[in-house]
Amino acid sequence: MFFASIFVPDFIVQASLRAEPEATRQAWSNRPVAVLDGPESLPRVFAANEPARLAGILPGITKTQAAQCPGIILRKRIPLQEETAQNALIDCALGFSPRVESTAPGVVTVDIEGTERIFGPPQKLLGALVDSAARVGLRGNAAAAANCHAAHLAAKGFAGITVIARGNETDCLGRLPIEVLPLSEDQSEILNAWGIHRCQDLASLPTVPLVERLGQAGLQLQRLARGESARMLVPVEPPPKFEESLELEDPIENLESLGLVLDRLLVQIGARLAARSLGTDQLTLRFQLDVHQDRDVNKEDVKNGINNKDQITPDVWLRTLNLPIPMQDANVLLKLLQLDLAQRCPNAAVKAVTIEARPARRRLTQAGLFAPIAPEAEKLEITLARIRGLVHEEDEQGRAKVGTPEILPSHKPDDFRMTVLTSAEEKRVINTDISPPNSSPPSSCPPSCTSSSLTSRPMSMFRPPLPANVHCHAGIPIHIYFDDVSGAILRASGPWATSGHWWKSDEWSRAEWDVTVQFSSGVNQYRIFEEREQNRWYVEALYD
Amino acid sequence: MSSAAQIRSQIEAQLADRIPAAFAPRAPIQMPTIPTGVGIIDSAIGGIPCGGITEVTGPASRSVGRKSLLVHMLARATQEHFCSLVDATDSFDPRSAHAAGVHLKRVLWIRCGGRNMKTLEQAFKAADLLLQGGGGFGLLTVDLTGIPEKFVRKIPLMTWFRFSRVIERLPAALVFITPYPVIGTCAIVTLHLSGGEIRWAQPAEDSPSHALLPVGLDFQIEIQTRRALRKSPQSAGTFSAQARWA
Repeated sequence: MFFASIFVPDFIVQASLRAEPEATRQAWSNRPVAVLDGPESLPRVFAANEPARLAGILPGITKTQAAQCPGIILRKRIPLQEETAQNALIDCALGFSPRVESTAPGVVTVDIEGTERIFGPPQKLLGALVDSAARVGLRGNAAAAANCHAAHLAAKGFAGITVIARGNETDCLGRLPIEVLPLSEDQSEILNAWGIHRCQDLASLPTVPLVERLGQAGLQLQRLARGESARMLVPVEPPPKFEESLELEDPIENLESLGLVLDRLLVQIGARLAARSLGTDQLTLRFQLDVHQDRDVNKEDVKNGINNKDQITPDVWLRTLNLPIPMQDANVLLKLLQLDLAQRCPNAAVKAVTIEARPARRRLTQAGLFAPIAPEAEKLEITLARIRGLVHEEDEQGRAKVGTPEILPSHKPDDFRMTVLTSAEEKRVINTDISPPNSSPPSSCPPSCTSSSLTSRPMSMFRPPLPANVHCHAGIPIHIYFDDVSGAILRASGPWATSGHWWKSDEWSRAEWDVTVQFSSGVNQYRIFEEREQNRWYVEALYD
Repeated sequence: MSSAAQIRSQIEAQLADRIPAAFAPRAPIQMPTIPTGVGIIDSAIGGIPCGGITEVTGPASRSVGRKSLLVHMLARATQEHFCSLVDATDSFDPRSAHAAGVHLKRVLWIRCGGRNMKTLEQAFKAADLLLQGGGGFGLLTVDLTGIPEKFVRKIPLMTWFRFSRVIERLPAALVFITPYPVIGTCAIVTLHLSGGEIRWAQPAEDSPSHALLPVGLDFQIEIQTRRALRKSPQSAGTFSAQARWA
């Protein structure tokens, strides 16, 4: 077996800075950064990076003391950020092997046995692993060795990339200080008193006297120092969701600034998805709003005529965006979120942002040789999002206003739903009831009719149907008045009675007629119907 | 050789590397076409030309075959292309279109809904976004049927010029269905529809109303083409829409 381990130094500090843009992180790389934790009244330094430690910022000192260090950057500790950073590290490792262990915060161990043919020698794999971690905002050291512990200690102790050949563990780890070992305070004091400062010193001690003095823990430490300790890898399940969050120091009130924050988070999510060759088909956006406790948001919405169904509680705003195909490109996702937010934005300043992406396999389709050229999915979705912004998303009946019509298997008139246009070629349903569009004209067609004939009479629908006044004689319509015009009905074909959905709230029962109406401008043919329950007439469509 | 002919040949020779045949008539543009399934159109101009605007006009609120022609076009075009339909008044009937052979899964339907100026603006913006959106559609149709004429008349000529310039660069056909001829010279083909005539299957005059069955509608069509298409400038004929039982 061969294992690779990646270790992220100052993990808590790096996790708190992950959401910053790459340029900002680069600029801050040499500046002291400290992460504060504890009660609001007396926050204390929880973790600090190397420049901060050199400047005397040690864990436990108060914020006031830490703030005296010139140029220091103080960040509030957010455990969720550490969790998402660890998940991001696991995602990076999962891009190389399915057997990944979350060893400790900021440490991930990977079983890389048998991956040479895919990723090349361990040196190359470790380089790719470090690059992948850098893309999700974590700079770390990586090492590979024949056992998990050796790989972990080497990654922790050596900067950059280290590959320990089989059987060379003792020599290689011997150069490391004993601080890389998991020592308790007592053990550290004892070993310092003995003058043991490096792993090779501990490794060369006689085993029996060591056990007599330090017990089984001492033996375990010596095995670690020799690189002989073996254990089984405990693989983790891949994280079920990709979540990134950011808590803002000052609430954001405008969409432009919010777009910058979303961009940072989406870049991280995109990198994590790319590391696992996945896309996302659903984005969930959660805003923590800065709402004063005296403010009644619901009353304000009613007053302003806003129907904000995305606000689940007064201070939490939730929005789910379903995507037609799994996507990975952060720019496309950002554009879609911005277009969606332009339609419905929260009614208060945002103080925390969380984006959750549901993973989905990216579609791997090859264009068929005889399939038509389809619009590019990502571009089309952005275009459709813009169009939805123009024409609104849904009509009064809850049907989407942009999409592909799908006729429902129902006898209800004008019953259809809108689906997403996809380029995936599906088996075409051949309607045996209709003849092909270029079939020969019927015999009743006049000689001048050299064209093909449609075996259907297309209609121009009125949505909603137009109310009409209809006069009947012996139950047959003879005159109609609607939409400020009136005319005599020359011929009426019907009635064709339909009804349905009596078991639901949208029950219908009507009698349809096809009528030819004589207007002053000419003769038209309409489909009209009488709503039986209400005894009202409507014009449903013009045969056109 | 006369002096005029000499001068002409000299100028043509000097400009030959930049402008081949400077004084010769422009070579006819060979535009690919999308068949409509309507014989009179396909035989006259080969179908709807790509790279140009086709205008379909017919009197408002009359059964003149605008929707029938639209469905004809979509039925043929969706066999080989993805199509888009910007429906200004939300009047497209997917059920009858499906019955006519339209492959609905290849139709992007944008339902603006309304009969006012705002709807018209929405339709044009949506069409513009589709044209700028990276292509992929073989046939783009904008149905302005039902929009009052007073609003359609307000469309500035520059809009049509802009659409004609944009569609020139795309391998797609752009069809506008308008209540009256409004695009003018920006349209490469204009199809005038008129005279919807209803055919009834009537066994006898005194038949009961439920035995009176309309079997079809016959429409008159007149085709006008611009010079660039190099087709016969004008032709006319009829096409029909039949009831399914006819």
